Amino acid sequence: MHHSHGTTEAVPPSRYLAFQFEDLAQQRESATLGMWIFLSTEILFFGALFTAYFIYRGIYPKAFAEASGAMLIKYGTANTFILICSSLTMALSVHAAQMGKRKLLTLLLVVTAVLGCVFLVNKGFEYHQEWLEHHVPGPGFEFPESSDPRHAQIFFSLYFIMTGIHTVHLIIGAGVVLTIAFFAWRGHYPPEYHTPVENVGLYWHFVDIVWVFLYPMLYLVAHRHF
Amino acid sequence: MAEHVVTTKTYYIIWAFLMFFTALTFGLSYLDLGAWSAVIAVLIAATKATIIALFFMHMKYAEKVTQVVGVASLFWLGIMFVLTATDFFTRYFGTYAPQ
Repeated sequence: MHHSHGTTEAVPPSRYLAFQFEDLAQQRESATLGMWIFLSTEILFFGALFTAYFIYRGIYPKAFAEASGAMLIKYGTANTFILICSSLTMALSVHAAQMGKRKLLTLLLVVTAVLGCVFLVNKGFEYHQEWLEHHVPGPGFEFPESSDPRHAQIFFSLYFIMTGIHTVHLIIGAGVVLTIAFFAWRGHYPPEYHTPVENVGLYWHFVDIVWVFLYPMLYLVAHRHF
Repeated sequence: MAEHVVTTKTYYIIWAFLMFFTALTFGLSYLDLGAWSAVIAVLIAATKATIIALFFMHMKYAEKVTQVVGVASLFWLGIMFVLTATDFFTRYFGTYAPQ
């Protein structure tokens, strides 16, 4: 057919394009923008807990340093390295999706979820030991080593709430990554449409960033001066 | 706008940086740097978070409007920190202080 206007030939719309978008690029950018707006609510959600931490640490620095000294640093440090490795495999997943490497994409997503599960198992062992040491706030709480056990308990409360909510995020993240891995394996995410991989990646990296701040604030506060 | 494809080499370099900074902040925590230890630990964490956001999360290559959302969330986070701190850390000026 002859085009008198000299415009480029009409490309049939992609089966991945929803009707309300002009093209796949606009659709992808809209999805990413939406994901970042969700993440900004997450930043403020965790931000409120960080605010509580800063306030109480500012008021009770000695009790916080003593309580932080009782953290099981080997678990915290190992988990930091594990999450960073999982962020690498997640980033490489996005690249594999862009290159159209279906099997590699599936494998990398599964490895990411497995690393997340290793983090969770570590965290479970850590919580268990803290339970045995009576460091869980409540009627059974004991921390006689501290000069100020009552305020050290505030540190432990923040520790369990912050790491607990982070853990919930990681469980959700691992579940979504595995779901995406299943659909990736089934061939649902070709290079032209891999937005779900990109967006679950954004979530995964965000959860990693939260841990990047939790690690020094909970584990590294003057643990040597105990 | 065409999607920017970050090379795997970039991802590996960022990963190496993150591993290095983690080892660094762990090692530094064993040195007695006084008040500086907390400042340095937070600076290292902020550096790690920034490179994760820029490269792993593709903020460096994102649309302007997406970048604005990212910066705006930090701005509001700053409001929460600063305004709350102005209350709690000026409350006991010249009067009773806890502990």
